Amino acid sequence: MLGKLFKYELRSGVIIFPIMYAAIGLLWLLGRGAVHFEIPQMLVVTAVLLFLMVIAPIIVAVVYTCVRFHKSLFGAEGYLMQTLPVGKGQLILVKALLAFVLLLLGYAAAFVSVAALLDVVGVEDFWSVLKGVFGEMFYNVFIFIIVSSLIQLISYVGIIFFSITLANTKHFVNHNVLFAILFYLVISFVVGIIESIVLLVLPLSLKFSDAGTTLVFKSMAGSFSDMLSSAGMFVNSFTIGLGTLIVDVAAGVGLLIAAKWLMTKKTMVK
Amino acid sequence: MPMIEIRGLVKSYEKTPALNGISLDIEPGRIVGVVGPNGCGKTTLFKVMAGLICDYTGTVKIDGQEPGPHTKAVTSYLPEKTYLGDWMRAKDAVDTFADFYRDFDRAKALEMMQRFQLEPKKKIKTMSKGMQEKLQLILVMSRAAKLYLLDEPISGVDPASRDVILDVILKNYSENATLLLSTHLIYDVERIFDDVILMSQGSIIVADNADDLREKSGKSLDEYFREAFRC
Repeated sequence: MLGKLFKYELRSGVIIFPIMYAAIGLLWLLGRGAVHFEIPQMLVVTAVLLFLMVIAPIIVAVVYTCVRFHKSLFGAEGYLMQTLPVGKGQLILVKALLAFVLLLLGYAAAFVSVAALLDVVGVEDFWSVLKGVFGEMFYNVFIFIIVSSLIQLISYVGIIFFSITLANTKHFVNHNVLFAILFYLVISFVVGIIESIVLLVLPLSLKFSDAGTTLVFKSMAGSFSDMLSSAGMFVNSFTIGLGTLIVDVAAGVGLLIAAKWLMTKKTMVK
Repeated sequence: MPMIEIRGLVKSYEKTPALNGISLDIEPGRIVGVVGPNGCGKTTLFKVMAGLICDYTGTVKIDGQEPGPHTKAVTSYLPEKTYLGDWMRAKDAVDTFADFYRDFDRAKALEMMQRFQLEPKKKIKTMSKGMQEKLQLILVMSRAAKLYLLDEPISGVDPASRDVILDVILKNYSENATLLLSTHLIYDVERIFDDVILMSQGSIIVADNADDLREKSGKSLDEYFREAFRC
């Protein structure tokens, strides 16, 4: 059933993403053409459009995820989705997986747009500059940023799904869109505060240095204090707490489970 | 074992009660009319049985189980609303039903679509409301379900189409299945009912065999209904 649900969701309109990738490719070609044929006006226009394409895919992915979840479960289409012979957990799981994939595609499209923009405007040594800043640590830091971005998506999807589901329970359903936005803001704020605290106090961090990356059982606050007391250390090494990522996973999974419970016990399709 | 077993079902919207402690047993193989004026709780009752409303109190069992994947696999539900995704073509809707319901008869659905001149490749959002309703009815009645829940299938259509819809329902529902049909247009459908449930303000005021009720009251169900709800 999971496969069938996934197929149904995929057919429901993810066509927008191939179109966006095609648009980025086309803009890149136009930009290269503008450089080759020396048409500065066209170069400016394509550069601006490529810059917009850095933001647009992420916005599209987020809006699509929210609207699709709301419409397909609590709008008119909910009469179909919620009467299919599948468990509520399966519905949430498939939608979460798809949201994860779409957000990933959105981030990837943004990354491709940045690369295309840098190529068109002729910033060839962008990566060299970054490598210069981070030195030997560059690749490890880069991988860490990618992995932590992916992990953050889990909590992001969890917060979105839980907020929308809670807004479709008895007391909020008459103004479900308004309450969904409100819940999203409040929950994001609370999760953000917890993340900040855990980031600083949890004695589990990654230490990046020219010698490599090591797991250290020290809080980020402690490492920061050590760093301040030993001048010059920041140049060669720095420490990032793993508390944020742990909270992201816990919040994401916990909120998805809570959304499933709400859907089983407390929600209604208007 | 009753096909539908409901005990003390209560559901309210904010402070407005919609169902006030309904208890009900319906045996397999019956055609039951759920009748009552607008706002009496018919749709809410159907939505609870279909698994769309979860925040109720009381017990609801369909085919011996609480609403969930099993009951949804044996229940074919036609809501008042048009619910097919606007990205779909008629063929996609058929594929979706064929994918998810083992009891769905694709050939029957396509044959009925042809009879009603519904183009499989036509986008649902370009269809008229009447065409969308016909498509939904075809999908629902192409299943060999144990329970059919048809919520107001004939409201909002002209009298000629009502006969066509009733014909589709009667010709296609599985013989041993239970069929619940809600309506406030009793005159057009009372001939098909084995039993009748009369609802008012979230409660069942009469639940009886249709012939017995006619005999006891000396009136048609339509006349009985009009008298019961005369202002």
